[in-house]
Amino acid sequence: MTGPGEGVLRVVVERDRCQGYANCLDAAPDVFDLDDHDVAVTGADRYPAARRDELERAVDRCPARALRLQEITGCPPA
Amino acid sequence: MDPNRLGELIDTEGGVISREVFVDEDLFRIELEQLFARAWLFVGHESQVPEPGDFVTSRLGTESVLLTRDSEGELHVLLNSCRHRGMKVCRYDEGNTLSFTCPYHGWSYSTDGALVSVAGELLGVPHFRPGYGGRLDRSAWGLVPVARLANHHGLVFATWDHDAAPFDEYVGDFHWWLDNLASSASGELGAITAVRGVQKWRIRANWKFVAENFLGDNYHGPPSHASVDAVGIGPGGTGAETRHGAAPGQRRSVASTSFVRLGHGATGSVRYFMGYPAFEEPELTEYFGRAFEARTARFEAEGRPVGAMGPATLFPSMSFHAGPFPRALLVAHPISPWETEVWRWYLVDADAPPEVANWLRRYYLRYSGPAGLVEQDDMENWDYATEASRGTIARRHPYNYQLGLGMTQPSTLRGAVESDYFMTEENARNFYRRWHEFVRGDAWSALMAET
Repeated sequence: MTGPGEGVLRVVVERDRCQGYANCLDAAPDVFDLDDHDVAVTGADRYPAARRDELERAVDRCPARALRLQEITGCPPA
Repeated sequence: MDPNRLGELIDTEGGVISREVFVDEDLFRIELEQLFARAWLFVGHESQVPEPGDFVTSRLGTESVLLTRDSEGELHVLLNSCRHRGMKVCRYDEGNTLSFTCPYHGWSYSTDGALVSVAGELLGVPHFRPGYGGRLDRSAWGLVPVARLANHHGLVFATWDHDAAPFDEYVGDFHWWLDNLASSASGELGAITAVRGVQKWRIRANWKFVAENFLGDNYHGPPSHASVDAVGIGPGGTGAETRHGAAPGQRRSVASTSFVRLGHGATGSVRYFMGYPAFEEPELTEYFGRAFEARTARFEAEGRPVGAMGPATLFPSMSFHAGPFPRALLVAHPISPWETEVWRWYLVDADAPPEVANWLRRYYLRYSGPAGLVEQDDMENWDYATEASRGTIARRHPYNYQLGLGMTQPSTLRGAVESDYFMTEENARNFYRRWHEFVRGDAWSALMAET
């Protein structure tokens, strides 16, 4: 069971696919950044369900198909 | 070749045309700039891209283009060349995708309305932040779209020229032939589908010999196609009078129709209809018999003329049989003055039963196309005519285009004449008149004056 404020969505970055297009940064600048290797990383491990549309938009905009949304269900780690 | 000397090469009044028109390299380059970059050209049939995301690669002039259907169902024609370094963004004949990613450096373009505001817009470039400093203006570097697109009852045409006359004006009253090409055997506009797979093959001939063949050259029929007539290649086999399938007693074509200013040409007229062929197979005879009855009633009700069957050529390089039988079209794409890539589409009624569609497909394959027995005769002529035009001595001696000179009468169609005799080169003379106007650079206002 997720607690309040802990979120239900994780953005998974396939690092080998990422080509540094940075479209995800444009779509959700407070979620994504590019690391020193110009590969996408997310600021947090999980995001609230309320941001689903915004995150799906970012995932769709990746020309390299390097992003996917993961539903997090079940108990959070102790 | 000085373009101002073009007038010396084309004498449509006297019916004499220089061989240089077919083989000169400077003229060919001018053709690409002044004709193929400006005229309306055929791209494909909308049945080739039925669903959002569907695409086929096509060709305009010498260049590869993508005919796509975007996420909202709209058609687009985009130059198949990455704006970065030119590589083809798509190397497949057909498929379904809303994004095209260039295999060279990864620039990615989209036809998804949810992601971009213009179809073909540059969606993303790799290493946008560190490499471009985030400064590249992606909206300015999308795939090059055609200037105008026209969908004539399922037949898709395009032009690169923003100043081009609207398609309907470009076509004029020749539309009766295009309408029939776009119609089913029963005459229903748009109720056809392209047989999947476009034949593409190269011939060592100038594209204009191909266009000329279909725009009204009845003259070549009896000698060139004598052998296929003898073996009964037509639907009636050896029992029929001709390979066109005319039943005994049916009139052959009379008069040809030439659009004097617009350059389009057709064998036959809007009044002449051959009737349906005598098929050897009863199910074909039954199918077409019913279709033709429906066609006759529909055309009478809609005020459409009974004829306009073709063969015919829409200026400059799209030729076709407008059906009801046969119904097929080709585009003669220029490669060089002496090489052409021909593309052929075969069209069947959208709701034709499988046995009819399959019979037609096999018939078309044995008649037309790279292995077609009738097309072989024509290709042999075109290849040798092109080779002969290149000869040092031969090219000094112009071609004779005097058949039917001064033997026309006005047609009821706007801007058209009909030949007194069914064999004529009037259509060819007017084709080259129009060719001359384009190639010497006449502006559209002049091209469309008095049409």
